[in-house]
Amino acid sequence: MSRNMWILAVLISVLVIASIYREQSGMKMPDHLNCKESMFEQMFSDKCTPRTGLKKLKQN
Amino acid sequence: MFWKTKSLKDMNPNEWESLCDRCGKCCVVKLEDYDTQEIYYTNVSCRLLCEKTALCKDYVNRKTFVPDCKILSPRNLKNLKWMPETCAYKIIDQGGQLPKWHPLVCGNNEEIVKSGNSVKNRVTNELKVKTKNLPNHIYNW
Repeated sequence: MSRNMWILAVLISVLVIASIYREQSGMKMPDHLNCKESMFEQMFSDKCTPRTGLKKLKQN
Repeated sequence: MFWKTKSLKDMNPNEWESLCDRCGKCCVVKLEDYDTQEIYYTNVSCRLLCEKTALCKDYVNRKTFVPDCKILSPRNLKNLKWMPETCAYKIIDQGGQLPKWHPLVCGNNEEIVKSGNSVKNRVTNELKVKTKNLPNHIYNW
């Protein structure tokens, strides 16, 4: 395997491990993921359509 | 019997506080459906609620520790649609009668537990539950 392929493999591994860790640790999802629009779209349109499902009510 | 003669906004602070039955149901984590805005109660409590007593661990400073905490008042009561149907404030506001297990009616704090209307010893603190698992804790109080 070439050097570049090794670098790519390491980067993908780090990404996979980080994703699994975030899922398992119960870390808070980034706010932009609560919207149907992509993060890129949100940056320019400032629009957020909530995803279907349940969200924690911000009132106690 | 002040609750029969006074409206919520005419009550003094002591009367206002005594009207709370200490059920703790308003202090559980609630989930809202994105599409229908329907509210679901859970058996997970606010971080400041003591699971064993159903009382707030720092009632005076609750807003400081839990910024989302709503300080109930006659003005905001109608906007808080998620308040439990058994809540004395809601009942009085709607012109109803306090239930027989309410501490002001029965004279003790045990009847509310016996009647199954208290969250005492029936909730888990939110600090012990992962946010993603909250839907598994939906509970019909």
